Amino acid sequence: MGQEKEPGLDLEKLRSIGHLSKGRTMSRSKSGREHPETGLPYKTTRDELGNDVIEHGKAGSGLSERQDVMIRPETINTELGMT
Amino acid sequence: MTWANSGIYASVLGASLTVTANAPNWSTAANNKFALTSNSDVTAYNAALASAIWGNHSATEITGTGWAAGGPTMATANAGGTMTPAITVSGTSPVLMVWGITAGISISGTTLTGAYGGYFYSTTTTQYLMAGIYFGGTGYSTVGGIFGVSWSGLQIATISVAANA
Repeated sequence: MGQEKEPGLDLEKLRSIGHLSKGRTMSRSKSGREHPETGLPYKTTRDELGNDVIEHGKAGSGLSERQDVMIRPETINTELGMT
Repeated sequence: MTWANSGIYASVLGASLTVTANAPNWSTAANNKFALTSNSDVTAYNAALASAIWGNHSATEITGTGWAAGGPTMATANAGGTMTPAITVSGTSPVLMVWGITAGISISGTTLTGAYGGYFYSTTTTQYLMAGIYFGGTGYSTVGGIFGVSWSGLQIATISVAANA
């Protein structure tokens, strides 16, 4: 007895959601100060790839003084084909 | 094709396995560098050995303040300290050959624009490419800041050599 497909439901599309390795979410930002009282402001934006862009501002100026980047690549996974 | 994935240059790995002249040593920091390129770069992981060289990609190199032309050596890429690669065997099911590394990249005081990926390559005469690292489809830039790469689990690559020990 074959499995019946529910009308209007694309099972292939549903299955494919589970194969998004890093998700398709929006970038997330976090702002703060390097020191609670005197530190310079910063803003960290982690994109959907998991990489961070960190902006360091001049206090009170609203200007970006420095920008760091932290890349987080996935490990290259390969295999030798053997039968 | 332009940057779309990470990969190992199979012809160069083969050259190392067969001890071809000037083939890279994958377990030393001394003679290997990491260079950045733009999205104009064509990775060509299927390149024949004679073409799998840094000289075929250096025209698309991203250079800038605080970042050495040709990229930092692995011996100095971690804030002046070494990030030393090593090949180890791990696991029982599957059995993996792991190309690991002791630390990430951290170079401060850089101003770089639009880095889409980077290459490990050997500085020994022929400058064979070892592996390309794709950053994910976005050009990353720094402004007087740190350019860093954090390797997942301190592993650059793994090769599954057997299903079971």
